[in-house]
Amino acid sequence: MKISARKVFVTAGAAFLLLLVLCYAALHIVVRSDWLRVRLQSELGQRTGQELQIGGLRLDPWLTFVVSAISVSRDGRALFQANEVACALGPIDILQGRIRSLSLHKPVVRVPLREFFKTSGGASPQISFGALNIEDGEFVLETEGGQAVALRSLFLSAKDVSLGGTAGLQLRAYLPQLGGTASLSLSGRATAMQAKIVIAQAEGKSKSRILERAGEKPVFDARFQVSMKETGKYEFNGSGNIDGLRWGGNEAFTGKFTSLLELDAKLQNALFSLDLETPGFPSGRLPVSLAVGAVKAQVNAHYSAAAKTLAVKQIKAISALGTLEGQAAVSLAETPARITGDVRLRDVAIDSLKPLMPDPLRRSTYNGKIAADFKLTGPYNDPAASGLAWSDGAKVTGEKLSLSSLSFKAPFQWSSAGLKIKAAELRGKELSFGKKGEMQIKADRVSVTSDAGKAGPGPMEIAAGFDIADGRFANPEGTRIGEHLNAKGRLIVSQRDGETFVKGEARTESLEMLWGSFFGDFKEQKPAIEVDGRYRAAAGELTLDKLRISLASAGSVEIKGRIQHLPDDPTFNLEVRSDDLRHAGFYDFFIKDTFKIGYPILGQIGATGRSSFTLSAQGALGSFTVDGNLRLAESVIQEKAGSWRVGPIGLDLPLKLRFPEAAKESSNETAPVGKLTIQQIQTQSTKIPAISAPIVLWNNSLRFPDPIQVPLFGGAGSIEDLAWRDIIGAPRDMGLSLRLDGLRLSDLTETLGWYRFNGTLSGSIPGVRWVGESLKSDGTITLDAFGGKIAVRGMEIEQPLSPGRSIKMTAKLDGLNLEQASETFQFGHISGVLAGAIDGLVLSQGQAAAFDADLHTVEKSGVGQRISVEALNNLTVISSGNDGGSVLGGIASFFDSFRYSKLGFKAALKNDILLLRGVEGSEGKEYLVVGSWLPPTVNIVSYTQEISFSELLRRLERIQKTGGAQSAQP
Amino acid sequence: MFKKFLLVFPLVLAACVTVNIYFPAAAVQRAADRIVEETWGDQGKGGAKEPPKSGSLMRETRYVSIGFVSEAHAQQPDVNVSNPAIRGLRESIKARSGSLISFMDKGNAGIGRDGLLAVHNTDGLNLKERSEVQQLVEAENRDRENLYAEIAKANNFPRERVGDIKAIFARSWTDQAKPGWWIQDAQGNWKKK
Repeated sequence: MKISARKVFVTAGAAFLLLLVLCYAALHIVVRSDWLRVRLQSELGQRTGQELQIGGLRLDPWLTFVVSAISVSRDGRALFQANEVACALGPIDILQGRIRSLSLHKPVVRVPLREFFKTSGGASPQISFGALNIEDGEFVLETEGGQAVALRSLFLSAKDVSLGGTAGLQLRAYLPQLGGTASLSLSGRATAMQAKIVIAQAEGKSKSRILERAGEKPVFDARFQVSMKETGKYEFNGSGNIDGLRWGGNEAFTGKFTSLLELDAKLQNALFSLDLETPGFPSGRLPVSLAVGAVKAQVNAHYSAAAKTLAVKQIKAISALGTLEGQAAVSLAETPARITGDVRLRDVAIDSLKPLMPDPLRRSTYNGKIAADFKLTGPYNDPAASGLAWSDGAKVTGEKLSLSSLSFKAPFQWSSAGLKIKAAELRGKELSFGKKGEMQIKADRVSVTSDAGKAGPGPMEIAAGFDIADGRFANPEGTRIGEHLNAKGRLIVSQRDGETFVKGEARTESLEMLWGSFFGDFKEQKPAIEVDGRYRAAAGELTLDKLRISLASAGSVEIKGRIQHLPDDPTFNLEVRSDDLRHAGFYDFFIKDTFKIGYPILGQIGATGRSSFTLSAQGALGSFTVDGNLRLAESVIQEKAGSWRVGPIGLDLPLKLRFPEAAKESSNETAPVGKLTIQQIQTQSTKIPAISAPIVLWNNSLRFPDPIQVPLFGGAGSIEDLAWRDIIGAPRDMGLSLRLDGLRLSDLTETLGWYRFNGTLSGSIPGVRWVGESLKSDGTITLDAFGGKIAVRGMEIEQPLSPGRSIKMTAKLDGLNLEQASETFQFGHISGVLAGAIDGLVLSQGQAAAFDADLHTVEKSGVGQRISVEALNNLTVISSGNDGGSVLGGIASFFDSFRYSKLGFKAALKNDILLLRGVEGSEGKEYLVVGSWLPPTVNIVSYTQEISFSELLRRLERIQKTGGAQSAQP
Repeated sequence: MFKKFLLVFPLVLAACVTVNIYFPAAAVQRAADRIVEETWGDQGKGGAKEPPKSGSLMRETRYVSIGFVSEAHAQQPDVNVSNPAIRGLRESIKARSGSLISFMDKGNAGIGRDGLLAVHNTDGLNLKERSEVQQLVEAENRDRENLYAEIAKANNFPRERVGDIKAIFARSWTDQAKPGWWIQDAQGNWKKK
């Protein structure tokens, strides 16, 4: 039997294959055996001097050795851990001393800093990897002090990696904080290694890491030269570019840097310097949003492992915002590390700090610099700063605000717990507030001393004292002007629960103010304002706990309450009260001094007394109600020269007023009744005793429900139905009726400064009413005088509120005893009875301006008609202007008096021309006196009918000079 | 009958009464000149006074005319500018003139084109003086307006003639203004006299 070669070959091949399978199976069994695992642990531990722990070994097809749960440690300190390490070998690779691929799953490498360089500097095994993969690794660099720097989520995918050779190392890590990946490339030998770090970020934001990787672009590219000097020092010299690096937000950082790190041989000290330049600092990373702009920064630092301190010898940053310089020391021995440092800020543009300012201040432009020196102390992640910030000569301009020179000093303490500013001083010159075309407020100097503070992120609380020197204000029309304003005050402003609380006071040392027609010099008045209130901006609600305005001479007014819907549609519920409003001060300051040029009589009147009121005002500006109570006490109004005096006046008046118009009549509303008392009305010759009357001011109607009884000149006056129907809507619409009963004319005429005569005055005016510009009356006043009656009717006062007012009336005379009248007026002796009428009598400026009179004697049985020589002479003087003495000489001089049959005249006065006609006219002659047919008799004939007012005055003066005492008794 | 009528008609026409009532501008002007002179004394003597311009508002104005015959013009009597009200106003104006003239000398007050006073310039015045000149001007203008109304009333001029009186007085105030005082022209421009 011949065995073929083919069969032998197949049999041998099968045997070899079987052997191979058996060997592979044996290898598989051996690899998985505890024997090998223990052997490896022991063998490798002895060779490396480290402790090796292997959880399991297996062989994956074909020659991939997988070690699971592996850990390497030395002296109990873990150096390396991994969930799984897979090492793939190939037959050729083994021959070449090469590992085809090495994969580590979740490896953690802990390297002491010292060992890192030792390892690099020592002999490296000549092992190369066809591929090196690290999946989700972690690299921890441990410093001497036990501090650790960890790089997590590392992914490495390297090919042709040669340890100790020059082929290089590619390390790639995902950095979740940056949302990108970092790649580290190392090349060269350990003594002169080049490192390249590239960070790439996705342009868009994605939750998928895989997608992020796909869209990434390099944003950080740095190269470092790592070398070990002959001195044993290690030097890391590098530079790099940053192009749109983002962290913690969308803001990108761009710039370039150079850095140098020197480590001494013992790795005890490290010197670090960094020069950084960026065209735009990512200010969004700052606690406040500031436009920092381009920045050039230098940092020099020294780390001492022995002292565990990091000394920042110099930090300097120059930007458009300003310059920062400083030094700091960080103690790493404490946890957390503690920092102490000095920082100097210079040339910080105030304008760039607008984001830190309250909204109204942000609208201005600031031309000036601010500087600050402060110390930093405390934990590095929450330091506190204390120091001084100041500025000098800054200029502020805005739409409404300008300040030519602003200087301040603000000592401050700041920490995350809050901010405190103590005794800050702010001084400004040439302050101007207000736009052109609006009210402008200016001040030469303004100073503020302020304490301010805030707790944590809470709102600022400010307590400030202010001083305004030589302030002024003016509206464009120049009708509202204030000058020489010097005021001081104190204000506390705080915020809580959405409300701004304001409390303070202001005192005006001096102010001259022109407000329309009003001028006031407030220097003696010392006006003061106290305010205590709060404002809720969201609701537009202002609550006034107290607003007190006071003047030294006039007293004070206090307002409490609430104003809602500010600023557009305010409604209010306010209580306004004054306990001590002094009339003298108020009248002199606000009324007399303001209007006395236009109305000189006001300068001759004085007012004294006090008043108080409590008023409640409710509603909106367009429609509101005022109700409350007004009290006057010891109030006196008097003519300064003492010719008349009214008072003391007392008033207790409940009131309700509605603006702009009264409410419709409400029968349910009962108007409360007040009381008016006037203790006395006094003239130089007359005293009118006390008057008391109930008074009602309700729903805009002012009325005296009961008659006002006035004891007057020995008789009585009664004013009835005195009422103003609507003092708001129609203040002139008033009415009254008047009764006069038995007034003694002797007292009345004396009071009026007339010729004194006896008699009484009685009458009734049932209605006084406004018609156009006139106050008109009906009814009749009757004077029982000179044995007859004078009936006055149709009294009318034209423009009663004007200084040029005139009084019109008509009088009818009946049965006047001429004997009494002529003696009273010192005209000489005339007997007879006079009757007639004076129509259209107008009194203006205290003089008769017009009348049309027809007065004549009437015969009455038992009454003789005689006229004395003196009276004849006076009549002659009046009618002709000449003395009648020459005419009445001769035979006439033998008689004291003459009989007459008629006496009288018709006279019309208008425009200062008196047209005088006689009681009879005949043949062009006007007879003032017609003689009787029985002698002695006399006629007086007037030829000059028109007499001018000045001539009439001259003639009357002439009569008076020749007359006797004016106060002749009838 | 018709013939008789034709004969009589021209006679009737010729016999028609013609009543001419004129607004006596010249007389008012004379009165205004007197009052202004009384107020300012010799202050304005240096000013050239121009005669009333023909065709101006100040010319003699007829406001009632009946008839077809030629009208005879009698010499106009002076208008009345004296009664207690007018006297009171004139005295008030005169009493105030001393204070006002010092402000007008300084250019603080001037004469407006309507003859009323106006605050022209407050430079150099403190607030009290500003208030004073303002109040003086207001009081003066109030009195002047009342004066014109009273003159119209005293002379039975219709109420509408108050404006004419005011214009006539404006001319007097301007003509008799002292050289150096500020005066507003018809266009509203202020000029020194």
